[in-house]
Amino acid sequence: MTRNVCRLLAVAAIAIALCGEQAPAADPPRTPTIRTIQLQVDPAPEPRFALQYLLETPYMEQRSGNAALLYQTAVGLMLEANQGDGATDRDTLNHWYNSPPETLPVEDVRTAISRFGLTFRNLETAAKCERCTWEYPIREEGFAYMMPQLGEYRTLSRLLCLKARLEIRDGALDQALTTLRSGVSMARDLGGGPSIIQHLVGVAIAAGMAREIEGWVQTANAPNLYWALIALPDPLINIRTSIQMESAGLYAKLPELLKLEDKVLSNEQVLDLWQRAAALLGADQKEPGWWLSKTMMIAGAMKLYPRAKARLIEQGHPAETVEAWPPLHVILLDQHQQFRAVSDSIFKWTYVPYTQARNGLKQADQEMSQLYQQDGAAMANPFLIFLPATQRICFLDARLARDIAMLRCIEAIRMYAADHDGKLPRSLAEITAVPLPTDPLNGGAFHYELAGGKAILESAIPPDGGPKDGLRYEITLR
Amino acid sequence: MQNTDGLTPMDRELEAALGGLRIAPGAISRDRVLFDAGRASARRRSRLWQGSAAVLAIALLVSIALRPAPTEPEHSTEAVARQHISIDPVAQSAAHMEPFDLEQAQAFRQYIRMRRAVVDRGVEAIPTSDGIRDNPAPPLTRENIDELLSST
Repeated sequence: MTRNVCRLLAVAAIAIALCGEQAPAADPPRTPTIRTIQLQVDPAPEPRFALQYLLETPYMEQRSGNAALLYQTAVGLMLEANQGDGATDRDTLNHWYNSPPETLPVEDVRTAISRFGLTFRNLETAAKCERCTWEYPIREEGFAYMMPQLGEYRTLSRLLCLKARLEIRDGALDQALTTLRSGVSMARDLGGGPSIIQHLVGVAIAAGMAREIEGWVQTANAPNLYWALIALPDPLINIRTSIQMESAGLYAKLPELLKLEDKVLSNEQVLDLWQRAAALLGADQKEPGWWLSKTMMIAGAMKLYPRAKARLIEQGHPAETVEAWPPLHVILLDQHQQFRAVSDSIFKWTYVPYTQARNGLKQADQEMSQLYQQDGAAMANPFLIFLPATQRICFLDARLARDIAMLRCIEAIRMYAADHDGKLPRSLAEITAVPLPTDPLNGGAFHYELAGGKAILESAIPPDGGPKDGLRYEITLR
Repeated sequence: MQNTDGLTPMDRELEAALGGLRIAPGAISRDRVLFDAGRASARRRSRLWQGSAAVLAIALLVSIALRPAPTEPEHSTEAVARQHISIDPVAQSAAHMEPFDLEQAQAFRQYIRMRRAVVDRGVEAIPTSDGIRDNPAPPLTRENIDELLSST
C-alpha cells in the first residue's frame, strides 16, 4: 500500500512538472481579434526646428489659384498617361496597394508609376494652392449633381501611396514628405467638398496616407513627425459643407417646401410636388398606372389628414386656419415639419465630438425609423429617404481622427525614447515633453502597457464597430 | 431412371431440400398494417382540417386588414377631406404641371443610391474606369498640330 501511494505521488509530481513546462512564455494578446500592427522604430527626437517638417503647405509658401482645377487636370493626365503598352490595370494597382510593403515588387511598381510624372507634379502644385473651391452648380442642382470621375481620385491616391512607399524605402525622405503632403492636401480638399460621397472619398484617402506614415516612422533615422501631425487641422476632413448640403439638397428640386408656412398650395399643387418627389426617388410619368398610383396616393393621404391636422394645431397653428387649408397642404406641411425636425435632430450632432454625439446620433436614427413607419406604410413620409446614415459617417470620421491621434502618440514615444537613452516609457503619463491626444473614437486615454519588451498602444474595439475598427500597435525599439 | 410420379432423382432431391425449409416469422403484422393505414388516413384528414383552418385564418386576417373604412357621419374630418379632394385624373392634366426633368431625376436617384452604397461598403463602391483606352488618341506633335490647324 505504501509503495503504491509513493508510486501514485511520483506520477502526480511528474505530471505537475510537465504541465508547468507547458506554460506560455509570453502574455497572450489583450484582445486577440483586434487589428494589430507591428512597428520597429528608432528613437527620434524633436527636430531641431520643431516645425521643420509639415504635412501641409504653410501659408506664406502657398500660391494663388484654385486647387480644384489642378485636381481635375491631374485626373485627366492620369487617364491619358495610363494607356497603351505597359499600362497598369486597376486590379494590379489594388494588389500592390494592399500588399505588405516588404512584398512589393519594387521595380515593377517603379516602372509603372514612372509614367505619371506630370500627374504627380500637378498634385504637388495643387497642394500649394491657397484655396480649393469646387465650383459645382450644387445649390441649383442639389443631389442631382455628383462630381464626375470621383472614383479616379481613389486611383490617384493609391498611386501617391505607392510613390511614397518607394521613396521611403529608398531613404528619399524629402521627396516622400512632398508626396505625403500632396496626398494629405488632396484628402483635405476633396473631403471638404459639398457632398457626403466626396467627403468619404477624402476620408479614405487620408486613411491611406496615415498608413504610409506608419512606414515613415519605421524608417531608419526618420525625422519625428509629432509636430507635423499636431499641426494638421482637427478634424483634418471638414464635414460641415457636405452636411449642410445634404440637409438642404432636396430643396433644389422641391423649393416649395421652404415656403409652405407662407404660401398655401392647392391639392393639385401638392400632388404635383409628391409626384416630383416620387420621380426623384424612382417613379416617373412613363410608368404604366401613373394615374392609378396618384389615386392611391390620394386615398392614402386621406387617412393621414386627421392626425396631421391635430399635430399642426398642437404646434400652435390656429385651428380655423388649418381647417381652411386644402387637406393635402395640411398633410404636406406636417410631413415637411417632421422632416425638418428629424433632419436637424440628426445633423446637429455632427458638430459635436463623436464620443459625445454617439448616443444622440443613435437616438435620432431610431426616431427617424419610427417616424417612417408612423401613419402606416401607405404614405410614409417620403422626404426622410433623402437623409443619409449620419451615424456611420460620423463614425468613419472619428476612426480617421483616431488613426492620426495614434500616430501622434507613436511619435511622442519615439521622442521620449530619444530623450531617455533609448528606453520606452512605462506609461503614457511618463511622456511630459509633449501633450498626448485622447482617443476620439472611444474617449479617454489610449491603452498603453509594456509587455515582453514591446510597447502596446491600443484603441479598443468601439461599441458600435467591429474588430477591424479597433487598432493595436506593438512597438519595438531598434 | 424416372419414377411413376414424373420426378427425376434430382427433382426429388430438390423437393426434399425445399421441404426442409421453414417459414420465417413475419415482420409485418396484419393488424399492425390495418392500424397504420387507419392512422395515416386520420392524419391526412387532420392535415386537411389544419390546412383549411390556416387558410381561413389567413383569409380572415387579410379581410380585416383590407376592410373598407366604415362610413362616418358627414361632419368627420376624413369626409370633409374627401369632399375637398378631386380625384378626377382628367382634371389634373399635364397642362397644370411642369414636365419632369427625367434626366435630373435620374441623377438625383443615382446620387442617393451611390451615397447609400458608399456608406455601407466604402469608397470601393464608386465606379472607376480601367484607365486604359481601346483606341488611344495619337500624341500631339508639332507636325500634326500644324496639319490640324491647316485643315480648318
